[in-house]
Amino acid sequence: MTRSEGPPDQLRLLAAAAHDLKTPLVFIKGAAQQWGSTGLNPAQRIELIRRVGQSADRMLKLIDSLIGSAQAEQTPLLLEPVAAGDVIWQAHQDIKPYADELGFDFHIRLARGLPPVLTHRLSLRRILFNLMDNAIKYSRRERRVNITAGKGADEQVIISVRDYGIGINQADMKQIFTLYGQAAEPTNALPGSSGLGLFIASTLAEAASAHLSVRPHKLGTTFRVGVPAARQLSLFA
Amino acid sequence: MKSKNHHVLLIEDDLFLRELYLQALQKAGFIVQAAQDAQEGLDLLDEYGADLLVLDLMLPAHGGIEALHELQSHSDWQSIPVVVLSSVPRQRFVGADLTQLGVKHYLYKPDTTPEQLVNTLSQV
Repeated sequence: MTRSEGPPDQLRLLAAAAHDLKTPLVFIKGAAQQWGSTGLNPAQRIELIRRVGQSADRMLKLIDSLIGSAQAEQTPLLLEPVAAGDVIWQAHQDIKPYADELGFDFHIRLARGLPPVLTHRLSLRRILFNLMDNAIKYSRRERRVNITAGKGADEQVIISVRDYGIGINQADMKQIFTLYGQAAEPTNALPGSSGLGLFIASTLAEAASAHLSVRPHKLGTTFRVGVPAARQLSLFA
Repeated sequence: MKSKNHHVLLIEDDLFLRELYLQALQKAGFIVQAAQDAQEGLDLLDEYGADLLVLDLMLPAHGGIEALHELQSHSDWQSIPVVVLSSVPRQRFVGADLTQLGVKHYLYKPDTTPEQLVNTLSQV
């Protein structure tokens, strides 16, 4: 009997997921060891246990995202009219504890009269969470993320997540939404940390009738999610 | 390497891990500069120098291997011993000759507590 091997993409996904789950687990293990050591004052202990909780929360969210992404590839998602502003605020609430811990300011600006969008609510929430998480990861001195939502062309609502961080290499732009960095076997190519969050966002976007794009700036990056406006059905057709 | 007054440059992109290692190293008497990515690390190296580098290989934008090549290209930095701290198991890492790039120890993160990191650095 031969061992079955998954397609290369599945191995890359597993490698990326393994890396992103290991990081918070390594922290939790290290924190447990430090907790037992002498020399920590009460404030340090409180901070340590708070971060253990946030690390566990991040792992749970990642697992949910992975499952959601896998399900979205297998089963068509039920799309419904959704208030984009509500989903933006929900995603912000999801990331807020972690963002506050790192000292980040999130500025959210929603255009007046935004139409509802036709999408899968939970998927859009996960997409936005991943984009906000990515914005934090790539930020440095400027701990600020701007989120805007407004009407775009072609009856779309455009949600933008803008960071002021280290930006993305031009060479990496084409593969930004793929798992390019996660070879099944690591090589000296190890170009950068896992792009799992963006890959999941891209998978969910496709299933949720949304479109992802990226625009680099001198300082930082803007990720855009385009979602079709839900047409209002008239009762008096 | 005895810890007291020795300068360590720590490059680790995860904030929680970076601060965990930073606190453990400082408690052990090392003087530590900490960076989130390779470029910031090299900038700190340029400004403060270092006796030893602790390096995560999976970093945003530019990976750790690229940083190691950059180190080797500067005559002032070539002799700085490097301790790699990575979530990739050593036996699965193929490609670059890490010894040639100045790596003295390869530590697998899941098996390395902050205390064990301190012990390793004290032996370098």
